[in-house]
Amino acid sequence: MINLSYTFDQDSSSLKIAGMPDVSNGDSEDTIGILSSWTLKIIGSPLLEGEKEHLDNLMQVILLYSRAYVSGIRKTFISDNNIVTISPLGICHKLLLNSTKDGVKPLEIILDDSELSDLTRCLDRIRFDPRVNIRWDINQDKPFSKKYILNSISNQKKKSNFFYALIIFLFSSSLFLFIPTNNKYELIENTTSPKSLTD
Amino acid sequence: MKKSNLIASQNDYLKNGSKYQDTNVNEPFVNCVIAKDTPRKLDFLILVIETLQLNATDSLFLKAKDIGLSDDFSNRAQFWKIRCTNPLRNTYTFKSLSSDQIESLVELISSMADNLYPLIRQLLSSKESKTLNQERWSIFTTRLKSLIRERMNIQRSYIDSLLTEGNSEFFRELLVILSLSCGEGGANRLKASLYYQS
Repeated sequence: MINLSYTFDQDSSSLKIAGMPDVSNGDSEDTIGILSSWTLKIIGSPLLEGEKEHLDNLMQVILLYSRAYVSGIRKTFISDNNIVTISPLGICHKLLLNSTKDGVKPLEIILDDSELSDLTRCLDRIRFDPRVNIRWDINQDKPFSKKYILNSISNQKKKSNFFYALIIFLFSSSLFLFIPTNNKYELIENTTSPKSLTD
Repeated sequence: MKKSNLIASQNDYLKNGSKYQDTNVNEPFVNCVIAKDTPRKLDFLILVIETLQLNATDSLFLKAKDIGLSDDFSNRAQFWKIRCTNPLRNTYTFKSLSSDQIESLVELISSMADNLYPLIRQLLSSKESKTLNQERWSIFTTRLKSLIRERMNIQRSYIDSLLTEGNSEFFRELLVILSLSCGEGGANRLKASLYYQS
């Protein structure tokens, strides 16, 4: 049995896959058609490893998030099996990985823009490498509908608009406190009777 | 979980069988229309490339020749005409980009971004020294703003807002787009972002 392993490096990310050719699918000797294991090293975080299903989940989420990011959309994406979650965190991105084993706490990795693009490029390489012939359970990069983009972007704007409105309201209300009230004003009853012009 | 599933079903994504059935940058999108901001986005991306590399125009023409694009992309005047479809330019032509032109520009931008990736990465990284990063950003924004001042219609309020001090969010967005547009996968991503599903 031929065991093959290939490494895909991109600055802060290094993805190593191991497997063998799928002879029934007509793979050549140097092509991985059956994935047996994978390891992902992101600088500054623990080594990640798992089965094909886990890599599928990671690819689904990262590639969809990057695709949305290019369209200016920043929102949370969760993989089909709830294993991988990615959400925006300030100018960074929070990657949350749930283990399928019991008793293992979820792993949280904070990625900046450069690390996100490194990871995305790593996953892109594996998709397009001719030495890898694996059926990935991921979505194609297709245009979003206009409605979806507007809803996704306007939600962020709506939130910030509400926040600004609240600040303006509090600020203007507090300004009123500084306006002095005239406590010396006295109500004097007008006792003089009206006089007619003929008097 | 539910959110992402909704997104996937809303956009009716196709499952990707194998890499041989994967999207190709030259494959047209069915039932899709070109987004209104496409010329603006592409022109600004080229402007960022010009900011990152001196004499980038010559490199762009060479790259266009290398990847086998039509003569429009290696001819200075023709290339300028294509870029003038950006309505924010000083000299704006009332023309729209064709799908073929978009595909060629995407391919060109993607391969240029691939070459400039180390520089783009440096600017986006938050793990490096803060002072060094600020210095790099200052050089980058100053150069980009001077190019914007030179080529864009500064009477437009949008351009004016870009030129104000401390507004570098849009420039960062452009850099992120470039960093995620490298390679074949990146080109597909960029191309998909330039269309809407009708």
